[in-house]
Amino acid sequence: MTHRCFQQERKTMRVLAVSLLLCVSAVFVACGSGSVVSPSTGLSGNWVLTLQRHAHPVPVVYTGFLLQSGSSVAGSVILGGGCDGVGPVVGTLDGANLSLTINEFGQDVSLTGTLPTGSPSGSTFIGGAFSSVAGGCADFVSTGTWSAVRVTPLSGTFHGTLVGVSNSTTDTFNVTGTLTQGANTASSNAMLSGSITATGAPHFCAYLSTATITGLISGTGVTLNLFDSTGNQITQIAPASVATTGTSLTCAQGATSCFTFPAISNACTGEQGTIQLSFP
Amino acid sequence: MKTVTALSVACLMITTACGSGNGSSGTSTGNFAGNWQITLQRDQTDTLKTESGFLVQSGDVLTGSFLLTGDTNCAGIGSAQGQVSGSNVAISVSQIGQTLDFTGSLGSSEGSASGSYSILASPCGSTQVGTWTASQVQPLTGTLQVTFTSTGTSGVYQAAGKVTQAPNTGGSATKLSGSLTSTDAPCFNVASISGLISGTSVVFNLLSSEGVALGQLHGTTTAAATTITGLYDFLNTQPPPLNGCQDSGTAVVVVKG
Repeated sequence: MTHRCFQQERKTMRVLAVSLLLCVSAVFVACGSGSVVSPSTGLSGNWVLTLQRHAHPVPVVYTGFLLQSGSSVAGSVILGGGCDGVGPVVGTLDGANLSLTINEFGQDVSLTGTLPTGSPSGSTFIGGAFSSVAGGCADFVSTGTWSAVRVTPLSGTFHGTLVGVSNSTTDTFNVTGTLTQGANTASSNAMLSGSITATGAPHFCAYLSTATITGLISGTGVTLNLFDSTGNQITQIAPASVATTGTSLTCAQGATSCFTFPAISNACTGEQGTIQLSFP
Repeated sequence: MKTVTALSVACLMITTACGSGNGSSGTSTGNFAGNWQITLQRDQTDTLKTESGFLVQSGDVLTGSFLLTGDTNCAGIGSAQGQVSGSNVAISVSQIGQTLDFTGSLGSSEGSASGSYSILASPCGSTQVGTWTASQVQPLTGTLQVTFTSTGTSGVYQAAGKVTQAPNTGGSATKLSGSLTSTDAPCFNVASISGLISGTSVVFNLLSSEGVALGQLHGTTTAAATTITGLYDFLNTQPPPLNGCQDSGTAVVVVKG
């Protein structure tokens, strides 16, 4: 009789334990987020998003930075579609399924896509479909496809040339230097800082010897400000464009020049020209 | 065993409470969660504005986003904050440039509401007041039967498929996904749907299995989300034999949940 009671008690305890375990599991499932959070930060970086509208030949381009934390994506982009300015981006990555919303303030643009296997890494190319209803930026619906490429951080040593093209003879400055891209803060751009030094034989017109650099990058668009040792601005390099691989910096496409040295004497009346910098 | 039964009941209560997660209200609080199409009529004028978007309700607190269009200098998206008291509601929609304040109540018919609104003078325009009426648009989820009528050829062809509306996250629009197939459409046989709904405005982005844009369908749904009427156009860029196929016209979509 005692043995039977003991067995009955053990059976009850077992049922109780299983019930408790099931209950705890159920509470976790019901009260949890309902999604598997990946530790991945793979979508973080500087992106160029190109939207190709259905039946419209001119693409719309957005540039800026995304930060991924688990399955959540946030960032900001310089807007390209009817509403000038900067708009926040929010999104989710559920497995390989990416969903982003660009808030243009005038309206939202919804992007969906499926990441290819193994992505994103490096200068990743991703894409999908987009749509928006009529709103404050465009009074018509918009649909189409989108693609995006990540721009490798513009950091490291560089060498190259600044070529003056404003005079009858070209004046080439050989330069070396370093650039460091600031942290990704999910902003539409990131800070650049560094230094640049003219190398080789001194130029009669010493527009550039050594300068510190501050600048900004958003997508492939780059602006560099060069300052001398006293803090005076020597020139601004803009509009410039970096390769998505982060290995070269040139004047932006279509720009015949992207820097101007001001006059420094009666004999040296200034110079404007093009750049070609290689990293490293 | 009584202990086990009691535990099970308690567990069920906890999981039910935790698992609801849809922001629905209690019995004494009106349900304003969901997709709304609001028409604003400025007093002593015929001018109309519309707000469309989604509200999430947690108890008596509302949050969401609305897209303002129509007779306004400041069309765009605003974040919505609101409070529900019984069947009454007060909502502020903060846009860049202006704030729209709504007060009102649920109507006698299900999924309807009405009230008055006010906007203070701002860079968007002068002070104005008026009335609003709203319809709660049911989720656009179900099977689709589409009738396309070509403007160019007057041909009529059919497609069938399905569509699913993504969960309400309080955005000005919510994503749609699905698929369509047709045996007689000139410009597609199979298309995936990637689209949006905001209020009664619906847009379908129609794509091939390779992700190539085939066309678009956009229109207006009924509040019950049973019928969409609108326009379509196809301009295929996919490989032969459908490459270069162009067609446009009107579309009627019947949705069955």
